[in-house]
Amino acid sequence: MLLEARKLTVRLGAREVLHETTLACPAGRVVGLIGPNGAGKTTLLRALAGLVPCGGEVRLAGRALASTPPRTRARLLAYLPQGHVAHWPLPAGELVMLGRLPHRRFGAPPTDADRAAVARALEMADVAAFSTRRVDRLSGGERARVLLARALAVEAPILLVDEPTASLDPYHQLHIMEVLRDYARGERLVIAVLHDLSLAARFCDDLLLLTEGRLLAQGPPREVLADERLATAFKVTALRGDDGDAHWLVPGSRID
Amino acid sequence: MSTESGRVPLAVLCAVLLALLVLAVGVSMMLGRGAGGALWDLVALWRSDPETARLILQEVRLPRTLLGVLVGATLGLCGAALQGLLRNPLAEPGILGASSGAALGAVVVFYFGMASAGAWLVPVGGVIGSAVALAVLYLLAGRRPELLTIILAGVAINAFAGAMTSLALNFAPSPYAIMEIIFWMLGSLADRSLLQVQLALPLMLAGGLLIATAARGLDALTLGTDAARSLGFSPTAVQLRVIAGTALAVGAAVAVTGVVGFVGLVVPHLLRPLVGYRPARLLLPSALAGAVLLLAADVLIRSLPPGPELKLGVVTAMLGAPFFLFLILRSRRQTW
Repeated sequence: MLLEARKLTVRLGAREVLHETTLACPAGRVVGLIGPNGAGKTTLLRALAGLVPCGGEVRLAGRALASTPPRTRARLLAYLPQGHVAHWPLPAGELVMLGRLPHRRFGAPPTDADRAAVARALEMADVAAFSTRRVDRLSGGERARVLLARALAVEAPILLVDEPTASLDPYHQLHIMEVLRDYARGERLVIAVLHDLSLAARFCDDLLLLTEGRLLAQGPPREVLADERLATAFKVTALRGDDGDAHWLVPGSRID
Repeated sequence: MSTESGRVPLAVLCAVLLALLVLAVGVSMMLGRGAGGALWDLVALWRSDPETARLILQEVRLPRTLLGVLVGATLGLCGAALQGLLRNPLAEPGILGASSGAALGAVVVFYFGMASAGAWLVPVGGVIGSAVALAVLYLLAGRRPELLTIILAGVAINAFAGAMTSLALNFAPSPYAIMEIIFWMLGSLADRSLLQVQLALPLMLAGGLLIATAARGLDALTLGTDAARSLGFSPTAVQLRVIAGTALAVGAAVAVTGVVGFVGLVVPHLLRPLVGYRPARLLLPSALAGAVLLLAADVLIRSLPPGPELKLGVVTAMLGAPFFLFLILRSRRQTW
């Protein structure tokens, strides 16, 4: 297993936001992390990335996260927070180069390997055309893909992304999901927090369904997105269909 | 493929700044007030009285020039580092309270009339003041400092140090003490000795080195604290290094020259169109340009007609404050 978590528990003050969550994800897959607002999706993702103090244990490629030095961890695991954050208006290429920091030595300029990795990431996210443009002058969709390219440029075996498709139009949502699928193809694991159930059903190999800090279900989308689970977790019904290989669903109506 | 944003290669820019610095140092050594003020006067003095000429160069102009370089570089470097850390182009070394803490420390020395016991007591008081300000900042901000807390703690320390300085003026034992305090607070490179250089240099070097070790972390913080941590950097460690480095270097600078403001604000702004926005890339050019700017301002002061000397801190404030206002007005229209 590329990424394992055993009895992960996270407390914020007195409140337990994640309760004894255990999961295991193999390489080569895109795993969707779904659940209603406040279910603890971001908390779980941050705990897996070692960004929040937690009980239990996380193992990356067999080694315990807690005892992995930060630099080694940074090469094993890339994390893209939500919100498309860039505090300075760097050109896209320079921003993506920040993803190479875990591989670069102190004070050393980027190596050919770094440049090649940045070029691959820009290419994969389809943003190579505006690598010299400032991120503040890009559209929302372009900016989202540049920041995704920054995480891709780490070339880590594990990629955790938090709501990568939020606030994007359908074209750009599909674009991002295709990039994530591409990335997972080469023995890598992608875990993505997703709000859009139809995207989750279409693009993920496995889903993790989280409600109130507990893992309600994990497995292939068809199983996890069963009617009774949607009713319990989201309090909605689903409209479903099959289009050849693709299984799709859209929210139907609220259940009160 | 170029991934750097600057229009000018960094090496070229640094070489140009270095050349300007050498030029400024040369002019600063050749230009002065009083006997042997202008270059030709100095040459004439050298012919008639070489010992006095040597004394002027070594004891008067060398310390003044060296301090100009060191203080300017410190303020430029710390300004760039703080703007990177706080991810805010309006940040300035004074924001931490290190400057006002150092000022208060030196004022206490003046207040108790200890300055007459030895000139070295003033820098010592300044460094202690900045260290105390830093300690208080760290106590207020806690073990995991949030940026907003740091800024508010800095505001509180500035206010307190300002109030204590006013109190010292209020109860000053003699008009002479008041004058001494006020003149010192205006900020100047005049009448300093190599002793002050010796006192300030190690602290400034230590501070600069601390900041240099945080450079990559500042770059990573561009992506926010979570992304920076995922890239292997501890935001807390980056903050601690930049804050401690600034307190050491700026504390020492203020202690030997008084308060010279706005250099740390203006310099990174002037450089960004040339260097780009990446914080680490901005550090070295800001140090060089800070040194050039401060030395140029001091040369300008010395080339004014005779009369009471215009204080360096007054000049930087007169130029810097309108610039600050301009930046605020501009930032209301755009994000950067």
